[in-house]
Amino acid sequence: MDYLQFTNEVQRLGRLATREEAEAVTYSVLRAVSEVLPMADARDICACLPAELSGFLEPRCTEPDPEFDINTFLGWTMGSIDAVMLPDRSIGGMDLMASYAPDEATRRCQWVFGALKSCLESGQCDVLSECLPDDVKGWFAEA
Amino acid sequence: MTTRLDLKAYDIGTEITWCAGCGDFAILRGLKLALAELGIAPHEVLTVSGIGCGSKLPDYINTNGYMTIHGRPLAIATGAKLANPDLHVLVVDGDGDAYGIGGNHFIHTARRNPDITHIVENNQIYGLTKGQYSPTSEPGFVTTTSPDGAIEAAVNPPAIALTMGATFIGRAFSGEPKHMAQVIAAGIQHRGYSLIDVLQPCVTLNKVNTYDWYRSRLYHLEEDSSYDPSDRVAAWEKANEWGDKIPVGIIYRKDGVAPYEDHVPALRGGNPVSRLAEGKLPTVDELDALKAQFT
Repeated sequence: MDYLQFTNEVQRLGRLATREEAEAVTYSVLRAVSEVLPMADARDICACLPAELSGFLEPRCTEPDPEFDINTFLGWTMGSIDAVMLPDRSIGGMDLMASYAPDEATRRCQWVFGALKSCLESGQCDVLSECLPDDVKGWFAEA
Repeated sequence: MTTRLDLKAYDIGTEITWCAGCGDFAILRGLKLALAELGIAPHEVLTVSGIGCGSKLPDYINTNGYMTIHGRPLAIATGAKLANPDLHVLVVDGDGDAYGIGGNHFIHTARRNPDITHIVENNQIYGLTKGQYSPTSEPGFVTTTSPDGAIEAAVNPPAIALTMGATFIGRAFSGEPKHMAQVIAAGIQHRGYSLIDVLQPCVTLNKVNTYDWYRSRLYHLEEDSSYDPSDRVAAWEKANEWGDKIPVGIIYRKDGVAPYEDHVPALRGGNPVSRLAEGKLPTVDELDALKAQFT
């Protein structure tokens, strides 16, 4: 699978209007994954991916932060969501987007995980899943 | 020897209303990690906040809590510390509350040096009111209140704190929870005012200063063995470093300075709250009479 096919797959899974959107989602989710992958595992996984995606997954810190949890993971993913034009469905004291953003961010992770799984062997999927924050593991399994 | 506590000791079960992915989650967790690591029990802590997204934090952690009016948590915290110097007093507020509305209190608390740990959730925007530029927004930052870009220069919190005589200045990134917890723990252990400026992406309303933006710029001061955080001149350089490279870690510390409360004559007789507990607690009738004066 090449880069174009990968982002097309993300676009198809997410029913996204443009490939640019799919690229932005892919980038944000893979950058989140790069934060939890140890260097050696990242190298193995990158070897199976198009070169463009390897750059996204390249770890930028020496070792993953053991306290990196679901919310920090989602923070990277949320970067690709444009809040300005979305309707404010908040109620009472709820923050803008707080009521639906987790679902949207979860779906975005799953589109990219779906495309990622089609590039990796099952052993590599297991390794990657093991590195993910606990709650994110479930999204990966369901993707 | 310090006994590490279980993180669950600080859980309270309140529904958290921050946006998914908000850096405040990591700050909450980092604070719990620091308290657990230091073995500080919930009843030994007072968490004071002002107004803003991040100022909801006292509602989400099992410590004594006090949400006060906008910009005033440092003043309240100072009062609480004087009333009960044995308490670990923390202030948690956002960049607007700390450096804008509460800017005057920030300056004077830094020079006063009470033993208070001040954690600022610095996301460079007003989040609760849906995205206006804040004191730490950089020039050119476009928001609803700066449609042509912010005009004024951004506040530099570490530099202000250093200038005003703060005895501990740290900076952390909410995307690195373990490192952040270590900086917070060091701040709590420091006797005196400690500022911990936490760079924290607002994932909903600030699409400039994202996790990715910080990741490509941050470096750790601890990794530079030649950096001495007790060197005020070196600290000044680091406090002013911003842009392509941003330092995180302990920027400055001056240990051995007696905090404000050590100099207050009224406290020489001991902790006022402890003295109350020694048989001088008011009766229910006395408290009712006191309350009646205000109704």
